[in-house]
Amino acid sequence: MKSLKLSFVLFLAVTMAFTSCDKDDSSPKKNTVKLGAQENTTTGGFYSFSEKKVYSMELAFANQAKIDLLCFYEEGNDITLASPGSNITGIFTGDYSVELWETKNTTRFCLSTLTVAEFDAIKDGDATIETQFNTEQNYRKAKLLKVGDIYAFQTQDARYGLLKVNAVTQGAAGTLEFEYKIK
Amino acid sequence: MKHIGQLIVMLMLAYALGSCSHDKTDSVPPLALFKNGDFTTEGQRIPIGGKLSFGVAASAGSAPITNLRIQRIANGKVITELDKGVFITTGGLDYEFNAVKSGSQEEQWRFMVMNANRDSSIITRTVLLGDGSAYGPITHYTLTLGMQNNTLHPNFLDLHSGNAFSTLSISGNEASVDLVAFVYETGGKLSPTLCCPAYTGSSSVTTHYPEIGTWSTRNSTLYDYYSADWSLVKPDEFERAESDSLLVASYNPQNVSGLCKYCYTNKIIPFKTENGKYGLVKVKYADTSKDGIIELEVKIQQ
Repeated sequence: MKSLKLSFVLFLAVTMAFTSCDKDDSSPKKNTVKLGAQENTTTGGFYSFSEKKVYSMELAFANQAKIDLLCFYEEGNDITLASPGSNITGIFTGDYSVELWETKNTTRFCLSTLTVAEFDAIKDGDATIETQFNTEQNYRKAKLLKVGDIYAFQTQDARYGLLKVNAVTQGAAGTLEFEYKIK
Repeated sequence: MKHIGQLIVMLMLAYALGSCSHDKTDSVPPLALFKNGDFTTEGQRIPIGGKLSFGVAASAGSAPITNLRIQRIANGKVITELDKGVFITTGGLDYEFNAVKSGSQEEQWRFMVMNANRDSSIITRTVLLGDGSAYGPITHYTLTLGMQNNTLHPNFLDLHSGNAFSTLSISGNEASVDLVAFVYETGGKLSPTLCCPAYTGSSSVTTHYPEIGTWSTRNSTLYDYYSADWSLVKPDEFERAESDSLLVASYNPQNVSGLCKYCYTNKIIPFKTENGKYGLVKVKYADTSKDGIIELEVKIQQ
């Protein structure tokens, strides 16, 4: 009887030990995006920050006002990030081509001097995000992207962000993967 | 046999406790950066008396931001201009700070942000002395405020404009208020006291003006109580001040508070407002009763 009691107590202790294990990983969820270039048929090439969603060109055409980014490839610029308002011509073709859109949001980019460690220390919504956007010198394209590049950007609706390139596959069917923080 | 069962249970217990994962030891330090915009730039030449303006943003790292310290290093001296406790869990720090260029050939401004892990990030900006001087004009006025129980006079002062508000007219003007006055007993004496809406220390401003606790904007004004206690600004100097030179020079950030006690008649107190304007307030008359008045003469940078 005594050993039965002891076993019961030990059983309770084990149960408590398991249930009290700390699993509260509080690290924030990362915003990671993979976009395909103009001839990529499996990965969409358009992105909306407000929706946090990747679109194919056909679906992007139907949601023009939401689209902030597009990805394309061309010789000389390699894999490039731009936006519908970047005046990209001769890349996208067909009935849904960006050139035919009525609403063309423009996102502007500039290279940041942040290190990867500094980028990783920043959280969505931080006031530091805005500090990296150069209001004097910024561009409608972020080109020749390579792993580790960190860009600051400003969307048409004046939201500021930072993005870090995580992977690049060159070519018209290539891909771009990046992580971003936005304010 | 029954001991084997107990042994198994004990082994399970040991495994369970040993496998609890608490090994997230990576501590991300805060990250401080200068903001873009119309701020003083690295190496900029500013004449004596000219405005310095700094914008600092910081991300917290892996713990809330708890402290912002701003120091001016000039002529080998380190002067702490601001040492502010905060508790920022989300959105990071977003802070703007104004000051005035001293006569030093070179000043280094150091901005330190610390988080609750006591990890810190420091950024610096060097400012050089420019030609000439940039001392500016001042606003000068005299007015009477009521102490906390006085309803005949206004109680809330916008130091910049000299506009004063009563409890009836304050609605919509809370964000412009820099100064209030009250009387309380401290150190065995009844003390006419100058304070500001943001003051939360002992004898908090809301003890005497509870309505301030509901304001969404509560400005801070820092009073240089050391200069006041030791009468470092002489009445004739105050009378002669026609530019902001004396206002800037007499404010010493080493001994400042949002509350200034013992503001008896003829005290002259240097101060700095939340938006970085320097000034002097001379107490022309002060009652020591809660329904009394305080008459102030103010000189403040425009």
